[in-house]
Amino acid sequence: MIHVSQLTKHFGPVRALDRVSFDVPEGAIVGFLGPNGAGKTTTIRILTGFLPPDEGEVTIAGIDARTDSLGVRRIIGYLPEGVPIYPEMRVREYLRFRARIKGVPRAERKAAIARALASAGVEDVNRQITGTLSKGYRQRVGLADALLGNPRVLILDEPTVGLDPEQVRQFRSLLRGLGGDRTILLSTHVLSEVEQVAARIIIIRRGRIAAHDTTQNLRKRVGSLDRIRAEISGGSKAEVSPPQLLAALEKLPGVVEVRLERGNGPFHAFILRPQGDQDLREAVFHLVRDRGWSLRELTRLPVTLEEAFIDIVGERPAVDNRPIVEREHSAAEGHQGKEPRA
Amino acid sequence: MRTCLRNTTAIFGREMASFFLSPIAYVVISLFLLANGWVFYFNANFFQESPQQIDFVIRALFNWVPFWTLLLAPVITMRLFAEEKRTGTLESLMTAPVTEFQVVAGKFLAAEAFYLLIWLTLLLHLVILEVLGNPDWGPVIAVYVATAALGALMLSLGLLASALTRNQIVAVIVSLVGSFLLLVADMVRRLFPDDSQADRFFDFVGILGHFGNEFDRGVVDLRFIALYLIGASVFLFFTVKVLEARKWR
Repeated sequence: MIHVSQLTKHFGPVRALDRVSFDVPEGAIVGFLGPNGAGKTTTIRILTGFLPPDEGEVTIAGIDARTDSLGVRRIIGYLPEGVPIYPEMRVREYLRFRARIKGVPRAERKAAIARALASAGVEDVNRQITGTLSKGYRQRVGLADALLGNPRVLILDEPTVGLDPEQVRQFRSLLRGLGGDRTILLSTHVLSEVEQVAARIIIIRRGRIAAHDTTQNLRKRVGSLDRIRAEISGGSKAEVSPPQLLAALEKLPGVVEVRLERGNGPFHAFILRPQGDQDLREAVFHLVRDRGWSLRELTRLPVTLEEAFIDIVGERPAVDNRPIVEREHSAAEGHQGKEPRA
Repeated sequence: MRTCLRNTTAIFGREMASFFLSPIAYVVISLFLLANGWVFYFNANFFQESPQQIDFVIRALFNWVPFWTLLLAPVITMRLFAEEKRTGTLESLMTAPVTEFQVVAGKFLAAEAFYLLIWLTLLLHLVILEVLGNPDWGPVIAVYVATAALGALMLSLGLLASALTRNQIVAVIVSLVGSFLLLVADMVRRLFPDDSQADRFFDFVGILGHFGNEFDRGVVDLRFIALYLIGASVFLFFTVKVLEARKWR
């Protein structure tokens, strides 16, 4: 349905896309994953005819996006990143305008709008001014817009950014309901967001396709990256120093790497990377109990794409050379409002 | 052709609605009505004694056309593209099956219609004069035609300025300066020898120099109307090109 081959795009001296090729079969839901700035939005803008590629082929349902941009735009529903909507219009008014410029025939317009409102679950706010909507509703209005005219291809760019976990869950079930005969390309930078709805996942990194596989296979490859965060104190008088704690943790069987994340006060936070699929939590608990230390936190950390990628491609991010503490911090921020990985 | 018309009217309709949903429209209209009400009152009082001077009262209102257009056009157009670029709605607009031309046409026509709507409020004053006296409607129609054409020129310049930036303030300043230069272009002629080619060119192009002549004769000078409309077409053409520029390689 979507066929992309050898897509290259430069912005001045920056090569945003480098020979990107992939195919999305008809009726599939495919996750399009990559860290921010990897080229997701650029690829999507080329697919939707907003930008032309420098080189390469793009066809959607057999229509060439380079030569017949209008033709492509007629058959896709697109939700751009950030859900741009005119803030001064009412929801129904906005959808009526969108239906008109999308060429939905006058006689079908009312029914089409009603259908889109229902599928996106925004009937109850259809008279509200879009600028006053909550983020979740805005997102859904954007989805209703994308669904107008019953497009065969749906392209959603970061549709769940800024939603709270409950809204993300709702959005996901909404998407699942939309599948079937529709082809959906869903871009995101959080793996957990797509793995439950998408059968296949494409990972893009620095303008190149890094992986293109079924979700199951990818999951297996990434699963080994579950890490443990443990906050341990070696006693109130701090008789055990952080390096000693670290050394003890490193000796645990199945531990590949231990980092001291933070060491203020009597408690010290450690990040442990296990070997394979092992769950280290029990081992950490036993160690702390046996030594008579105290433990106040023991969590599994969700895998960020950054780490997934390191594992898949074996490449350390060259751009990100901030200290590890800072990186963890921003990764945690990126996860705010997102559902922790199940 | 039909889709072109449908898309243009859809965008026209949306822009018209959004003019009236923004406070700027009401501020501008109020200011316009207030200023012209004062001008009208002052002149009507002045010429109260001599009803044959009625045309001077009308003239006093329309003398301000270039000034008001200089002020109105940047304010009306500043939002049209700059805002869409800033908020990203331009992307959802341009990924719908509409062409750049249709978008520019719809927005321009909406700006022109809103601009003319503001000028039509002066009919109120003219109706009062009609009741009290016997104004000559020929020059009024002529000056309305000239006003519409001048508006087209400056609105299209404003639209171009708005398409060039995502900052409305920058758009206002660019179109204000551009429009002002067009108004006073005939001042440049002093740099050239009398009756030389350049002298005559700038005399022709300068708007302030000749605007309002229609009123004296009650005749629309088609050369100036053509000048404004050609200028407007050039600016609109470049606006379309600026929007298309993202697709250039």
